[in-house]
Amino acid sequence: MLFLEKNKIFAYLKIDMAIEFDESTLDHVSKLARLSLNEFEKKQFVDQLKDVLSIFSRIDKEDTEKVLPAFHPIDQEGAPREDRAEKWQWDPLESSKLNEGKYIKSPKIV
Amino acid sequence: MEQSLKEHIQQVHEGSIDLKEFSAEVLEKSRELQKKFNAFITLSGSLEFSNKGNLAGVPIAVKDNLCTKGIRTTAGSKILEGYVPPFDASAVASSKIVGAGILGKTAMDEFGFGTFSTNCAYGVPKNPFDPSRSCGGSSGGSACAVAAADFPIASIAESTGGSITCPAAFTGTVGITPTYGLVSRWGLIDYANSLDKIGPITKTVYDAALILSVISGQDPKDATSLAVPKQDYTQYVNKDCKGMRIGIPKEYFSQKVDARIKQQVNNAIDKLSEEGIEFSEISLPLTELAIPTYYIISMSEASTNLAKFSGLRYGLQENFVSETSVQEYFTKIRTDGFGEEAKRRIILGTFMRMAGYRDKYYLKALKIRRKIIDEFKGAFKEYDALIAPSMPILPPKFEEIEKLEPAQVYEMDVLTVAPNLAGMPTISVPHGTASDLPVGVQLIGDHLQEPKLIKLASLLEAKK
Repeated sequence: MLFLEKNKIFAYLKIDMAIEFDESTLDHVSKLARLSLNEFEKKQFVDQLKDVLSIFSRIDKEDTEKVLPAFHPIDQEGAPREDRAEKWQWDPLESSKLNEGKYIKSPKIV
Repeated sequence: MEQSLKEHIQQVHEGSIDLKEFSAEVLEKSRELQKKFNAFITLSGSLEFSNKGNLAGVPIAVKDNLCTKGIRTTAGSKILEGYVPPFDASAVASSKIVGAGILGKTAMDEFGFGTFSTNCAYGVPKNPFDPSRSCGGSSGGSACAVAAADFPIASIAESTGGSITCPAAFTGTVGITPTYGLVSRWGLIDYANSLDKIGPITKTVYDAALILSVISGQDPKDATSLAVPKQDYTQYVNKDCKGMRIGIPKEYFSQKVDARIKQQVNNAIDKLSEEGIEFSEISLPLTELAIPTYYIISMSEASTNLAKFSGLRYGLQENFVSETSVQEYFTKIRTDGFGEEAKRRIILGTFMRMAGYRDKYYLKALKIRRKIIDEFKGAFKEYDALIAPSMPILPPKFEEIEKLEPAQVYEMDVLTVAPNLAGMPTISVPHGTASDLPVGVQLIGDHLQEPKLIKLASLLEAKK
């Protein structure tokens, strides 16, 4: 029998659900965010983040039917530059201690 | 030595100030202040000015999330320990070109995540009014430096949800949070791209207007910078305000706000009324949703922005053995490098952008943001500005802050997040004290109405 934890099922099915934020959710999100929490931090974060999410849920009751999202506070055309190649004025890799010539040495990916 | 920037710059132009002596004196005094108040993460070893330009001979303290060429820039985080930018942020470059010198990089909450500057990996700045109390945040070090210095100084700070207004109020300084896009964000280490605004913290309204004049203007390196002509904002200082109309949003005077603060703001209203300014009460009912809306959007954007800190290109890096995977390396660097609040916000932001939650949180918040903007726009059809307390509390003691849960800390931003969400300009001006602690009054304006705010703020400053 295939078993999936409840919150992962809902994530796959894209169903809007009441807040369920528990340790398994925290583990999943931490992994996505490339963060590792110890046991004390996990317990602390679950409680704290549940409280915070309950505040965030205040927005549920507001009617936003037919309202467009505001990705920016001011609607503007933007100020694009001319599409013209320019030489970098500094070496983009100079701040890395892991650079070898034109390359950055990375841990293994595969 | 305490004098306005105007007089100081005039004397520099006239040649009556020896800039080498002034520089040595400023550095010496700054080192002494640093021991007492810890305003800086990095204090410059030398201070170079030009005797020409609008900021000739002015020492500038720069918030440590703005890149400064050749000067360590950490954004208050261990993950950027040792990072030395190869370039200046546009706001910094603009200041240097007109004669300013960079005094140092000021302490701040890590990446701007905080209200009290207590989330700084390099020590916490202490309030010059009472060193057992916070300077506010996240630009606490900037406000601290300006408040503590008895020499001409200004700071270039940054606000996402109130990080200029809060520390200005807590330290008795003036802070301008400009219209979103008025000042280029090139070279700013992002917290939230649709919310970040660079602005001045200074001793006087004139000084703030002067710095804003220098750092504002369209920048081809920032595609979100507004196509508006540069202007001299100092021309609006001490200009007639008779007949201007100011709204008093009742939601900003609720029970959540300390009664002593409300009293000082009412006092400010009385003084401005004497000058022929008209006041009336207004309601902004969406204010109660501003906190969740702001934090959902800012955390979502921040969690994306902070994905770049992974130990490869800059900042904290470690040697690794060939068996180490990218997953393991990134996780180790980020776990070691980020503080507790940064981790909280990254996790929340990542969660709220996940499939299944994105519509409920992120997109919903963006729609409420639209409604908040429209609510302000409606208000500004009737009024030239709105007036309110800058912060709901007086500067708290550090021992009080330690007892607060994260949700309680977030609620402290109740008076600043709405105008920041809407990209509206605000100015915080000190007005009176309560229990010997400074009180800030904020004026909120419509987009690009900094001139009106400066007029009103300079009048309020004159009447204090």
